[in-house]
Amino acid sequence: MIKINDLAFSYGAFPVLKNISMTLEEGRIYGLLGENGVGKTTLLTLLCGLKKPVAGSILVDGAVPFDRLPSMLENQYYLPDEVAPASVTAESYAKSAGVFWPRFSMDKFMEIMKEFETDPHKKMNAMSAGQLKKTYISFALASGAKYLFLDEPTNGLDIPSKAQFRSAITKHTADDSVIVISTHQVRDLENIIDPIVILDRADVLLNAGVSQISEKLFFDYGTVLNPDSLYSEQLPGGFIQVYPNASGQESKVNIEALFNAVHRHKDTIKAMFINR
Amino acid sequence: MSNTFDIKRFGKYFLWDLKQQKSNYGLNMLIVGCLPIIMYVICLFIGLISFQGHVVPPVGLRHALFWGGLLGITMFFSAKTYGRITDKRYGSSWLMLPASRLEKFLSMILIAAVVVPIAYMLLFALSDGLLSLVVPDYGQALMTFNINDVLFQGTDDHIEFTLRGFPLVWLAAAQNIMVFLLGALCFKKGKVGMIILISVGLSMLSSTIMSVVAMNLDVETFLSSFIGRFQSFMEYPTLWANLLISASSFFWIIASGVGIWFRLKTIKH
Repeated sequence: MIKINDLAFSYGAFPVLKNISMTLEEGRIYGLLGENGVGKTTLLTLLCGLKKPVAGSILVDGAVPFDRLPSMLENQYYLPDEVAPASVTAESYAKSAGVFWPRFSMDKFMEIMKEFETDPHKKMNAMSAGQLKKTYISFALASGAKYLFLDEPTNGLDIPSKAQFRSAITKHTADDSVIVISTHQVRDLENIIDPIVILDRADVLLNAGVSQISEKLFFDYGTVLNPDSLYSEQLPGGFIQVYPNASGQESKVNIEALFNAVHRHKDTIKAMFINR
Repeated sequence: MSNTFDIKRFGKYFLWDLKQQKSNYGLNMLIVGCLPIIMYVICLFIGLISFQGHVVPPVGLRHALFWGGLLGITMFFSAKTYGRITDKRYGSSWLMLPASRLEKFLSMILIAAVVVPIAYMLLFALSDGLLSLVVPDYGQALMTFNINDVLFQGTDDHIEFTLRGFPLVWLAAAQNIMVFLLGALCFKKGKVGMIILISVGLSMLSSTIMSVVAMNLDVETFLSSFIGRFQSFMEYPTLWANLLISASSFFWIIASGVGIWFRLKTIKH
């Protein structure tokens, strides 16, 4: 479990994160959403120990990430948005680096590479950006790490690879894993992320599961505008609207519409989910 | 497993690190270590082009090659290898590798200050010795390992690495490589240039201070008291010189080591 308490971080005099508190529980795939510059990547790098908080604390199973203790590092894997190409083949890279993660499985790595249709015998510095990303995703999933921090994992992936990624992440992670995915490509991951965390510069605007969201908010794909709409957008043949779920009906959560509704009515939506 | 140091994990990490640096710098090392052969081939060509017959590199040039190569290796190795830790992409994955800070630090120091200078000297000695063995008029091998001699000696025709002489050369190389390693970890750009600039600046500062001290000192009185107090210094100048050089090298190695440790402790991406 990850406990974040009153976390603050700034780049020099420029504050990026302020008063961030939340708990990330086991067995979930968290979707970390937010506008550009709100600090999604910064939060991920703080969670994995690449940065040190200016104030507040982060505890990963009781350990401070910035201490970078081997017992903590072998339980986590951080996949940055931009990855570095090694001058060896993917197979050789996995063989040599995999020894540091006690639950790393070479068979699993080869299997995921096959699912991604990526050649493990190809040199990593001769791979395209997408192939390189898929190699690192395969490594991350094969590492057996409990905590996976993935920054924009679908950036650079082609359409079939995005579906393969969704399938791989549900198939190759343990039940007690904590996966945090920072993304702008919400449609790529709509069906796998749950709960959804929407981040603002000085606050966590929303941290709720999909069922909780659909209980509180109704996503209407009709043709008539509702006067209580928190957000509406015209689509071919109608509207997508988000309004408080007064009738208790179920609806399919549209993450893009949810994100826009949260940003237009920060206080209203925060109050709806806090009161629960 | 200990979170500070585990010998099994250190072994795994050291081998991994060695492989990485071999792939990053192996070719450069091979080229610089084989400079005697490259220079011999160049001289052969010059001899052929200028119709001078069989030309071999003069001893002075071979000396210069050895020291130049050593200087080059100690200056540029760190920037090309561990210097990548300051790059966000490489640095992040290096920091996230499950090994302790102490294990990463020790491996880095062992490779930079021990493996690299010794590998260079061995390669150079081998390629130069091979030429000396195969080419009759090449002359005596530049380096010999005469364990009966007690001091490091640079003579006109060869360098003798004796039991006491070899550590002096290694110490000088280790000192240089450690200082440049600290620079490679501290500066994102101009890793080598910045260290050279700082060294020049420090030299200028220290010579200015020394000049001011010397101007305000009664040199004659100071020297007579100094000579009186350190009679043994005057009797065994080589010994004292070696001791002073070694002490200075140790100082820089330890000071750089402390700097590297704190840099590794605080590095963020």
